[in-house]
Amino acid sequence: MSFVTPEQLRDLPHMSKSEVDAFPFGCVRVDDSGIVQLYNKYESELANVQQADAIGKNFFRELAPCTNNRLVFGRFKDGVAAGTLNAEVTYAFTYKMRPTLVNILLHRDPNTKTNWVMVKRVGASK
Amino acid sequence: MEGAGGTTADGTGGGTRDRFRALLRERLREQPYPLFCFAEGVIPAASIWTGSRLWVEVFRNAGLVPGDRILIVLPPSPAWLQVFVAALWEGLSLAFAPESRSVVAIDTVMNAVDARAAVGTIDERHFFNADWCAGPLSVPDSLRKARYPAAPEARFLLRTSGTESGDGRWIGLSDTGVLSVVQSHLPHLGLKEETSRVLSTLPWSHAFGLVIDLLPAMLSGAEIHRNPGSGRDTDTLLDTFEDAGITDFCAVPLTVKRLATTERGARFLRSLRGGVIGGAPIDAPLSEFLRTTRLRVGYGQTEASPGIALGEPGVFPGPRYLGRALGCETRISDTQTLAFRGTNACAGMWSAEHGFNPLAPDRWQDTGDLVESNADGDLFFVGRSDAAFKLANGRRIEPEPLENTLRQAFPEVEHLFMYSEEGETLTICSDLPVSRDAAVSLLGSPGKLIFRTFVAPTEAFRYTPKGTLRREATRESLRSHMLQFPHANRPSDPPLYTAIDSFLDASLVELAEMVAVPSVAAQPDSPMLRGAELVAELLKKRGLEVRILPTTEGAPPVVYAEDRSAGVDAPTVLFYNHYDVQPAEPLELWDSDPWVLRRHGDFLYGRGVSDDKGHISCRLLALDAIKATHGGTLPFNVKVLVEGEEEVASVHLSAWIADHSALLNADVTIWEFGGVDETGRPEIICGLRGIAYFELHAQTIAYDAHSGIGGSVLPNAAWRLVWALGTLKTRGERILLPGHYDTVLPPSDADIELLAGMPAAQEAFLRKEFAPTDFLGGATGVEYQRRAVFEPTCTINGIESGYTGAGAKTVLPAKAFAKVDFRLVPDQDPDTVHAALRKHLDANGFSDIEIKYLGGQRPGRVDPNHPYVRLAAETAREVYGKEPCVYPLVGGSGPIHPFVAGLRQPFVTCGVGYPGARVHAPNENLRVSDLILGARHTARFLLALSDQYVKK
Repeated sequence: MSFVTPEQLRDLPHMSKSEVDAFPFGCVRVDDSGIVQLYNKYESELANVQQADAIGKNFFRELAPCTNNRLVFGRFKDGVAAGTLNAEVTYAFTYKMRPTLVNILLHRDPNTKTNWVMVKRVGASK
Repeated sequence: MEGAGGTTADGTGGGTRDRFRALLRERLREQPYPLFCFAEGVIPAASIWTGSRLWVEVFRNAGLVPGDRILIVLPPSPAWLQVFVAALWEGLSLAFAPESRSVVAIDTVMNAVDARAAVGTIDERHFFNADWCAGPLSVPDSLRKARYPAAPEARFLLRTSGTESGDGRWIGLSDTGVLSVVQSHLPHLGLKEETSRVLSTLPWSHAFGLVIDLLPAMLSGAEIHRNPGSGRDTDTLLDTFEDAGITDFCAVPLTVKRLATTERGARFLRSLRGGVIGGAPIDAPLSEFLRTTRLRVGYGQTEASPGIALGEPGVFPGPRYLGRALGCETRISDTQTLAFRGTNACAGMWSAEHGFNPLAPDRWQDTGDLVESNADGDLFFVGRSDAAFKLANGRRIEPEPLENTLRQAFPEVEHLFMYSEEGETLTICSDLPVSRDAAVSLLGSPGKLIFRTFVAPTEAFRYTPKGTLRREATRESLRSHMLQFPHANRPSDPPLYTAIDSFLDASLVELAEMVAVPSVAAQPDSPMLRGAELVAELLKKRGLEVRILPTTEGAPPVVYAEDRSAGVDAPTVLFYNHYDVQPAEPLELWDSDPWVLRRHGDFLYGRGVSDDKGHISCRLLALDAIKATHGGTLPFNVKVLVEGEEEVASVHLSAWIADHSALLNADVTIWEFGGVDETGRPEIICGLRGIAYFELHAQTIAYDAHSGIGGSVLPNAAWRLVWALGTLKTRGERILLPGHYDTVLPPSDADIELLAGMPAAQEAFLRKEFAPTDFLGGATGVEYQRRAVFEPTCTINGIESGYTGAGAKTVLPAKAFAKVDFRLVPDQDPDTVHAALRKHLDANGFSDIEIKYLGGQRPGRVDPNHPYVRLAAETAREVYGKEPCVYPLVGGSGPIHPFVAGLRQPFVTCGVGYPGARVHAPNENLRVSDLILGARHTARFLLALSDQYVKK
């Protein structure tokens, strides 16, 4: 029961930045080591981090160091190594110094081999 | 962790608070570990930290100052952790209570600990309402005014698990005490950041769960998986274990024991890298198992914050091992009680009446535990000093060391309890026989006081959730169930009784064979024919002529047998029994395979062992003994009718009896059941009520509708059915079917006299068990007894319609049905009730309600003054040594009518049942002693009948 539809996942690698920015949830593309390549508007506003500042930083170690554990970064690394990743976890992130319950979807597109971290606040309106 | 230095001895110094602050900030701020995993989601240390900041802010804004007491009534959750951290940060005192949403209950606790506010999940006065992880949702309008001054040295107020006489006490633990225990234990626990995955099931509001389980895991940076079932549900616990790859686990012996009995659980426990077991004594079998694990024992009590001793992984040198002293000094007094001294000692006691009562920090604190020590400093639990009691002559008895001595001598005994029944002697109750002679010689001087030993079923022994024997509760349970070993009375017929004893073993083998056949009439494909054949073989073996006769095509057959060699001048008896049994489900509630007879002391377990295969054994045992003592012949003619459909309402029996009445002609029928009541008094039953069983169906529309769309225009089947049911009887319990009471025979004066002599215990038992505000009609005494059996009933057994699952479903049901039974008294007739029900519903405008008649039985009685009933009572008095209780009628039903009305035969009851037999339920059981007594009674009755028989 993901907040991202199969169609969105399919089209994601081919979307323009503005299309990704239009998502009503956080969407971040990272390389295999976790370095941010794309950081959408929603995530930028949620985390209070400028999009330009996010690019080039390691998502799991620098932007959201609280995810540098087995259940988030660990799963990401395992998925990248295995070449398949589609894991969802309900997680209490801290945004703007407030714990915020979110669903995190870790996804790897098998064709383009791009990695995506998607974040949706639990209880946020659709 | 470094030492908890830089603080005053009582923990009031700023040093400890700063140390806590430094520890928490370093451990949590922006950290991915410790990582807390709940069923609802995962929260890293960083978000515990930021959440705690929000709480610090609201605590300050609300005016809480260091030393103020607040109460946490949250479930284990991120909010609990955030509030905990914030309170420590602010120097507040924290009282813990289990999760609650009852304002009244919480208010009582707040008052007891003089808390200024509570933190929970409710929005009330004096409450901080917490979101699951996102911080405060609301703050109190005002704080409660404190009655007592701040007591910052009592940083944590924890309630002890309590004794049987009270609800436990509030103990004040200091920062120093808690930190010193964490500090002394942490290096031993081997917990590691990231790689340790801890399964947390203990309550965080108790010292063990807080200080030995949660804090070490949290301060080590472990992954902590909170089990939603608090460890009670073994399956969810093992699921968590397998999903998360758990490495460490702290638990009480009862939880570990439950796990160790399953293969999956034992595998889990053996795979653990570490963990602590504690909180209650560990018995010998569990110790043996624990040696194959890396778990270690931990011992302490809340007063010791709560660490006193710790063992090494897998080291359990004997039962009731406590480990070696850790972080404190210990000594054992002359009276064998253990005392400790050290920084782990609690700061003092808290009471609602006096507030905080500080205790000297360097004191020796008595634990109240009786403990033994060996040369290496290994401590072993012996008992509680408060388990001791005094006999009437002033002699003090400490039962637990004596019980331990007996346990060592009888290692197969799992449950053993010593108490005094009347204050002068000692009684030993156990789950397996303990010989009185052996106990007397083993226990030295106190052994001479042993009056008797007896066996009680496992469930009579009561334990705390942690696995400690609750002595008072166990005593009460033994008393209320009166589970006394029936007295072996002075044999009034020694050769007969000896013969019964000599055939007993063979009889039990036959009973095991019968139990092994799952002859469940209700379930298709049950081996009913095999059940019939086995009974036939047993009868044939005894020289009876046996026939297996069909009732109707496809139905289980009837076994008929006879031995008429006694001749026409001798009496003829008919045994009525049944070889079919109730389904064994739910199988998981059985302690052993229902189809394998298991003996445990005096108890035999298995489906049908009492109802009714044990009764078949009882009759056969009686016949064997009579033959053995009467030159190989029976002084009476015997006929045996064993049916296979009793548990499915004997649907074909009436017709079969009508067709075979000549075959069944006898002077008396020995009914299929009988036995003793909870006090061991034999019961003679003179009548059974009848029954008519129906389903009522309503259908109002084609299929379920939306309640918003249809609610005001479409008829609702549930309402329709409820209205129809509402016409069946008045609120005064009067059944409104036409002519329903026309054939009801009121109890005779003799019946009323018998009812007046009924044991009052039954009424009291029902009142205690079901706790009604009052019995129907306010009945009590004789009227209660009359009403219980002589009053026709109409009972809704169940109603089904619409949606009754979780949450809201706005549905308008199209269909509804109810199951309804009518218990009938003499001379009501189920067929008449069926017709009257249809007539009644039609007359009240409910002709649309469909009736399905599921069957019925007519009531039947024998005159309680019938000579054979009196003979059964007299022989019962001789055999049991107790006054029999003669019931003119009992509430249940059975196929009695075709015997008493069809065959015009009186019937008597004798048998092997008792109230704890769990017939139809899991763990159905039979006491061997009851089998012996039942066989004696059956035999004595038959012989007395032959002696007194005058041919009609």
